[in-house]
Amino acid sequence: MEFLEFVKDLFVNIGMWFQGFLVGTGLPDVWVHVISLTVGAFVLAFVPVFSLFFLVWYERKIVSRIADRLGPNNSGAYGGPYGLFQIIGDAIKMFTKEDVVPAAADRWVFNIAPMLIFAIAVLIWPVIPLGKGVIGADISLGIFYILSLGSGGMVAMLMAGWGSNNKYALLAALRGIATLVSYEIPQVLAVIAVVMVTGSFSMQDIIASQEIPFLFTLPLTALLFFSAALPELGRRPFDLVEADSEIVAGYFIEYSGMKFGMFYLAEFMNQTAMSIIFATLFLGGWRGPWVEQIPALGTLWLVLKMFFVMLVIQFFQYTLPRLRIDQILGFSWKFLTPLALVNVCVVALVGKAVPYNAENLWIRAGAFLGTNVLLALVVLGVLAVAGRLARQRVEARLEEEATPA
Amino acid sequence: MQTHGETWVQFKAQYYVFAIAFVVFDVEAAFLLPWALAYNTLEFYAVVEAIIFILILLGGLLYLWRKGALKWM
Repeated sequence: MEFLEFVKDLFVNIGMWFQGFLVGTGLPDVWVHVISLTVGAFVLAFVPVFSLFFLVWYERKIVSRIADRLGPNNSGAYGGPYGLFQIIGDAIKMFTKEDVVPAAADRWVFNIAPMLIFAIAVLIWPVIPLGKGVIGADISLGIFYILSLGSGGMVAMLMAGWGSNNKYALLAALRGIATLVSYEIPQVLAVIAVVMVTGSFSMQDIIASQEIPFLFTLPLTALLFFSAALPELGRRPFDLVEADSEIVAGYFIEYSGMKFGMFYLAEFMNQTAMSIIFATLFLGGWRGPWVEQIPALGTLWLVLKMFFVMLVIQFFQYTLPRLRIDQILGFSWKFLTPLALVNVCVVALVGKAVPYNAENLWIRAGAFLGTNVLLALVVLGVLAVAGRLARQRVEARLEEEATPA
Repeated sequence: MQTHGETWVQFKAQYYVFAIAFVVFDVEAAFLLPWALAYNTLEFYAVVEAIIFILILLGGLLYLWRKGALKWM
């Protein structure tokens, strides 16, 4: 029974057991603190990297099923059950490739870019709450820190494109930055709406204030955040920067071997991190049934939600055609940014009209939901009217051209 | 496909225009972040002030749109 009690709050108990063990060896307190923090940091840095093995397999299976084929299920004799070890083969291949640096490339910038992008991808993880007490560092600036790391990714992209001494790479990097920069604003504005309702940046506080997940009370904000964060990942349908058939692998062109592996890993970890952040902000993080009794179950719920969000991202990736750069930027500036600004105004008004206290929680949630849906309908109406006007204009012009003939 | 000429070309000016627009709206978002944090403790007029701020910037976005700064790239 005692073992069962231990397992119920597994990660917190492991941490406390480890600290107790260190204190028991008679080290001074400072050393105990330093060692436990270092070990925690290592675990936190390696868990996402190693979980990538499973997640890359998951993505490949989904992608192949969408394309009506089977995907890795038994890669030859070494594939392992269901093709799970295929990824290890890929990793080994990347390790053993020759590391080519172009002669005229800017050496420092070229070499540092993959390290920077990988470091940024790993730096997101300490702030993500993986369970009730399980978080690397519950800083009070949680979501703001994550948003600022996104900007660091832009610098790494520019370094990679510029340092490669290759026109394709440079163009791809510039376009990538134009995309990232344009979608940063709706993303920040959607986060502002969430922070308004919560009253704090800290990720644990955001989860704690979601008795009803924000997906159901602020659906338009969730959709905005999702639409704005998807291009930040640089995946189809927004993958101008790495469109294989167009710009020849974009800013990754001149990279080979492990440096390319770093970019690939970082991109995938960004995708995973974004899924977890969406799950935290809008789906309630580690909340779920029976979490009060068995806190370790929270991690399971979070992982399931993350898989679900990744599934939705893969659907977007592999069923929609690629968008042109002017379509991408137009979508952001002409649609998402005004909508995000108006959404902030509406949420602000409703939040003050139905102020927060413990009784009218459901009324408040209903008010948010109602106004969000209303705003969405108004936007759809505006789009429909604008579309009809545009079509009428085009038809009038065609008639005009047709009549003399 | 081979390219010729110097690699580090002069890039299109439209990128710069987008970057400037981004700076303006990012600064606006940066101003809105502490407001959002203190939202629960504010009076109603603070919300009205912030909405006026957002509307002024929406007007700016509309100006950019009509002037053609947001197209062709």
